[in-house]
Parts: sequence; C-alpha cells; structure tokens
Amino acid sequence: MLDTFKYTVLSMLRNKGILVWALAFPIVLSTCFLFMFGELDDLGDVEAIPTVVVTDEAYDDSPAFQQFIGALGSNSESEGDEGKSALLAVKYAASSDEALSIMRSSEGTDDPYAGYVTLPEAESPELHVQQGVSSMQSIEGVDRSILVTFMDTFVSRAEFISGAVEDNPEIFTDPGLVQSLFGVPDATEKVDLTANAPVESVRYYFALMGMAALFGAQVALSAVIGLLPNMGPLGARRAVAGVRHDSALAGAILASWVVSFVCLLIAYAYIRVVCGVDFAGRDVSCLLVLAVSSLTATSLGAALAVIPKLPESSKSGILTGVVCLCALFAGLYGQPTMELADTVAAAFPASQFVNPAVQISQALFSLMYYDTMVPCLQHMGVLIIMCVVLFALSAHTLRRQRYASI
Amino acid sequence: MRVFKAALQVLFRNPAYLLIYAVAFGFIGVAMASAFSVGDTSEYERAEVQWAVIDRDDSGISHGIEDFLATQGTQEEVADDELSMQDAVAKGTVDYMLVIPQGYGEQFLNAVRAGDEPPKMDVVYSYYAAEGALVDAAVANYLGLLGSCAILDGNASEEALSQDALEAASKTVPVEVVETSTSLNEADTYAFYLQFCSYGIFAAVIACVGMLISILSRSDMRRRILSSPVSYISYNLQTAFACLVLVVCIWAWFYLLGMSFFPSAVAATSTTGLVTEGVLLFAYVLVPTGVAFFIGQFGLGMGATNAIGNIGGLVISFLGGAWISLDLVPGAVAAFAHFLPGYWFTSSISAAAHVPEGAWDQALSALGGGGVLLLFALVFFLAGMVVARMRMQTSDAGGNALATSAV
Repeated sequence: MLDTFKYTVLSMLRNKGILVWALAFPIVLSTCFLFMFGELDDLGDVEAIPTVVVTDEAYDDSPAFQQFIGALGSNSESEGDEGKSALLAVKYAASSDEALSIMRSSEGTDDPYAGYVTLPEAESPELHVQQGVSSMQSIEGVDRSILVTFMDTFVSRAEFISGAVEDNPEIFTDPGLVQSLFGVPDATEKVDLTANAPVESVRYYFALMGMAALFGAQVALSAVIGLLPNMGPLGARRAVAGVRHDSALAGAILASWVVSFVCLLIAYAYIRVVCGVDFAGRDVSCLLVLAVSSLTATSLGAALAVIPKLPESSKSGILTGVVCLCALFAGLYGQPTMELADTVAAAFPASQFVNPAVQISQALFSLMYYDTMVPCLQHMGVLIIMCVVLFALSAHTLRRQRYASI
Repeated sequence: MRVFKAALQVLFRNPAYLLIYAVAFGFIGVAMASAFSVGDTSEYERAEVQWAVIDRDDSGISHGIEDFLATQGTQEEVADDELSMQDAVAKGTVDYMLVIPQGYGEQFLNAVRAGDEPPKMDVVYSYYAAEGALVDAAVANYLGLLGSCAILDGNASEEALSQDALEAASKTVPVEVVETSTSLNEADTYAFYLQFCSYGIFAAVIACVGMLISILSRSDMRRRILSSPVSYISYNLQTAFACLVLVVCIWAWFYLLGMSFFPSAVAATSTTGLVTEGVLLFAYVLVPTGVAFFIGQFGLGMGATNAIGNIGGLVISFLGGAWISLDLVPGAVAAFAHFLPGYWFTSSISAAAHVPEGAWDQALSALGGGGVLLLFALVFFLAGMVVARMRMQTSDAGGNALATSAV
C-alpha cells in the first residue's frame, strides 16, 4: 500500500493536466480576482452624489431651498474638507439646458451626474434623473434614488410646514418645534452584527475554493482509472501484480486525497497571503474544511472513475460538467450567476444540499461571518455524508465489476 | 477525404465537451439572459431594497416605522435571534436591518416633546452601504416628521401620530427621466446572451479542437501519417476543414439558440446589427480555434487542453467584461483588458446591438473589434504553425534531428 501511495503521488505530480486543474486553476483565477475586485468592495460606499442644481430666478428667490442644498452638499468646483462629508457634490448651472448639457457630457465617465434639480415654483423642486437600467441594481441607480429621497425630504417638509403654519401661524415661537421642523434627527447608529463586515468580492473567492476543491477530483479519477484492468495496460499489469486490490485502491485513494489537499492548501495560502482574504483568522478551521472538501472531491473522482463502459475522456468530461454546473450555482461566473445562486438558494434551499461546491463555499463563508461554529460544522457534515455515499457507490460498483477472465 | 471523415468521427465519438460547454452553457446563457429583462426605463423606478425590522418595542411608533418602510422596499422576515440576523446580513438577504429596542416609542415621544435628542436605533447594512444609506435617509425624514407631529399635537395617540407622519412623508418630488446615449433597450438582451456565452464558446472550441489536434499529433499517429500516401498538405487541409466544420457548428448553435429564445430582442435589433453580431461571433470563435491549434502542437493530453480552455475561458470572460462590467474594475485592469480578445468581443457586440438599420458605417466601426479578434486568431495560428514545423524536425517525430542523432 505504501508503494502504491508513493508511486501514485509521484505519477500525479508528473501529470501536467492534473496539476493545471488542481493547482494552476485556483491560482490563475484568484490572481484574476485580485486585480479585478480591488475596487468592487468600495463601490457601495456612501459618497457625495454628483448633482447639478439650476440657479435661475426661482432658485434665487428661495432661500430655504438654497439652505437645503447648501446643507447637503458643497460646490464640487471648490473641493475641500467639507466636500468629503457632503451628501451631494453640487455643480451649479444657470439654466436647465446647461444642466442637461453638463449631465449628458458626464455620461460614461467615472462620476456621472445622477440628475439635475430645477425649481419651477417656490419650494416645489423638480428632479430630472438619468435613465436607469431596470434589470440590474446599479450603483448609479441607488445614487439616483438617494437623490430623489433627499428631494422628497425637502418637499414633504415644505408641505408639512406650510400646512402647520396655516393651522397655527404662531408655531415658530416654539424653538423645539422649529428645530424639529427644519432638522433631520440622527435617529440610527450603524452597528456590525457579523464577525467581519460583508464583502462582495470574498464570495467569489469562496466559490472559487469550492470549484478548485472539486477539480481535485481529477486526481482520484486518474489514479483509480489507473487501477482498473480494462482501462489500459497499466491497470492490466497492476491487476496481475502481487498487491491486494483493496490495499492498492486504498493507497491510490489516500495518495489522491493527499495530492488534492496539498494543491488546495497551496491555493488557500495564495488567497490568504497574496490576495489578502483573511478568512477571519480561523486558519485551523479552514484547514479542516479544506481537508473534508478534498476528501469529498476524491470520493467524487473515485465514483466517476468506476463507471463501467466509459472511456477516460468521457469520465473526465462528465467530471468537468458536474464541477462547472456546481460552480455555476455557487455563483462563480460573475454577478448574474451570483444573483442566480442567491435566488435558487432562497427558492429551493434543498438544492444546496446536493451541491458540494455550495457546501464548501458556505462552510468557508460561515467561518468568516458567524460567531458560532455550528453552521460550518453542518456544512462539513453534509460534505462527509456526500463522501460516504460516493465511496459506498464506488466500492459497490467495483465489487460488481467483472473483467475478462480465463 | 478519409482524414476529414476520421477527424469528424473522433469529434463525435467524444461528445462530452461539446455537450457540456456548447449545449449546457448555451442554455445557461439563455437562462441568464432571460433574467436580463430591460423593461420600461422611461419611468423612474426606485432602487429595489430589501429591509427587515427587528421590532422589540411592538408599539404604535414601531408599527408606524414598519408601515413607512413598506413604502421604501420589500420586507424580509428575520427572526429575532443572533444567528438569523447574522445570516440575513451576511447572505445579503436584507440590505437594511433596523432594530427597534424595547420602549423606543415612549422614549422617542418623551424626548422630542422635551426638546431633547431622540434615542437611537441600531441599524445594520449588508454588502452595499449606499443601499442602507438610501433607506436610512428616508427613515430619518419620517422620524423628523413624526417628531414634529408629536410636538404639534401633544395628546395624539402613537397610532394617530404615525398615520399623520406617514401621510406627510408621502409627498414626493416629481421626477422626469432623461434619456441617455448609454441607456439599454431590448436589443441588449441578445447581446448579453452572446457576451455571457463567451466562456462556453471559448472552452468548447479549445476542448474539442484541442482534443482532435492532440489525438492527431500523437507521435505514433504522425509517423503513420507521414509514411502514408496522403500528402502533408492534403492531410493538413482535411484536418483544418474538419475543425472548420466543428467551429461553424458551434458558431451556428450559439447564434441561433439565442435567436430562438429571444425573438423580441432580435426584433428590436436591426438586420444590420444582427449580421454584424453574427460576423463578430464568428471572428470570436476563430480565436479559440487558433489557441487550440497552437496548444495542440505541444502534444498536451486532453485533460490539459480542456483545463487550458476552461481556465482561459474564465479569465477572458471575466477580464473581457462579460460577467462583471469593466466600469467596476480598476482602471489599470480595464486598460489591460484591451490586450485580451474578450474585451473586443463584448464591447463590439454591445455596439453592434445598437446599430440602426442600414447604418453600415456604424456597423463597420463595430466590426473593427472583429478585425482585432481576427488578428488574435492569426497570431495563434502562425505561432502554432511555427511550433508544428519545429516539432516535425524533432527526433521524436522522425524529422531531421533523428537523422542527425543517427549519424
């Protein structure tokens, strides 16, 4: 068994295809993520929204609106410390045409103007916003909505005050009421519930780890096929050798698990050190998840390898298909598939229990965000059940298999 | 044509890669593009936000806050326990979670009527702070109005005050939507489908063509072919023809599959635009063909070829902006994307989708990206030919190096 283990490890390490799948794949793709997602996590931060305000006669005649705009923003032409905490980055235009022109000229730039505000009647502003994309929630779409909410605040306050003054002209004698009417209370305090603040880009790394772990199944696929007497001269020679078949199988599977686990460890170290994903500092727990993940991948490779009457290329193709589909529903293939994964998970929670890529990524996800280890252990439990089922299937198929005999 | 027939037999005896990358990913592209409904963008639509309230107060004030939030987005039910709350935030089920503490309503009314600062509630944002800030700004306005109502009418019940504040907050600004040149329309659904499929196309062509070339490039096979009466030119032409048939089949599959599933998007695209998209797609299909021809010359196995196709497809689709908009990535990465075929494919397809009928000057502008794709393909073909020629001269292939070593 030890000889089988040793030579299986050596042959796997000399197999370029396996090294590309198990090692190069996660490193290349995580490097790609590292460069691409550098700014993705900052996109949702609250920044001053570029807005054009038309300063025509009506604007000049409305000191309340001027004060409101002044409180929300600073003139983007004279950026200073004040501009950093401002809610709007205001640019003033003399007319609607000029405002429209400014807005159009900003299309396609890094900071497009969300819209422009006019004041056709006293205390009744009108907002003109850029056309949005309704199919996807974009950052620009959220900016537009925040701008509309600010203007809603002004309109609702203006109407409320005018109604209140009509009912009781002396309300401005109450300083508490004046403060309440013209001020917006600081009503909430932002807190964090999770061990780490949710970060969008990290989800892609978790999905990548899920796919990379499953591609480790190629190692077991190749190792177990090398044992089958009807799959090539190597298997035929080993079948007549003086090594018990079960110990050769155990050696091959153990070697496959070790190789895929080591490849996954290298990928983990790369993501941890180079890409800067800290996995909440729970390295020991992460190693445990990776060990179980690579064992599940090994069982998957073994189960596919023993499918009778299929050439190796077809088995490899099936494995590729299974892994790609699992990764799709883990959300690896960009924003649309991440949304699809969330939708499917919400609509059919049971679908997650049959997808090892989701279980692996969710196990890492649990370590990152939850205080307790319970969710992570649940995901690892599901992976171990998958592993047992797949190994049992492999053993059953191998025992039933009959080869040409005298 | 025996080589041609044999090559096709090799391809069709190993349909796994074709089924996975072309058929499965074609349908996945359809599913993804189906979710890409452009809709009517001429009307202003508020950004969709999911919110949850953990109401530990259960008062008229807290119910009023919930009623107001119902006008701001979609409510998600979250249980009042730590794990459920962490789960909702970490998985992005809710964008905004407000925790109303016990006794908040009474404390709020007492504070505003006494002229003090109202008590604060805990709020949790999920992945994007801007979405949380959007709801938070609206909640702050509502509470301001609620406080004013409470001061104006010191005897009103919590329910009545909440109702008054809700009515006051319902006054909104009129919003007009200004059409922009970057706006999307129905035609973009088909373009999105083609862009999403860039991975499947790339991986399918490389896995299938690479598999064929690696099988035909095995040393023993080469020796037999070199010693056969088939001329080397004829052999190469027949192999290339088989690859071309496969590539045309993959091109037609992806091109027509999207058309059959998105008739309204096709109707919204001009004939000129559709022809341009077809030409661009064909130019793109030739790029992985060239890459497959190149890597096939190194004698890599099917596993390695498949891996290169898969990883290459992922990298090209990510960096090309097919899956994540290049507007969201750092400028240096967006600039680097220009050196990859994925960028030229996605940007040209987007431009082609908006080409008006008969506007061939605009179509030619979009086809410029197709020209760059052809150059990518040409570079890989030429590099592959150089490698093939060098390989023919090696001792392993029975070339001049063998003769030299024999001497």
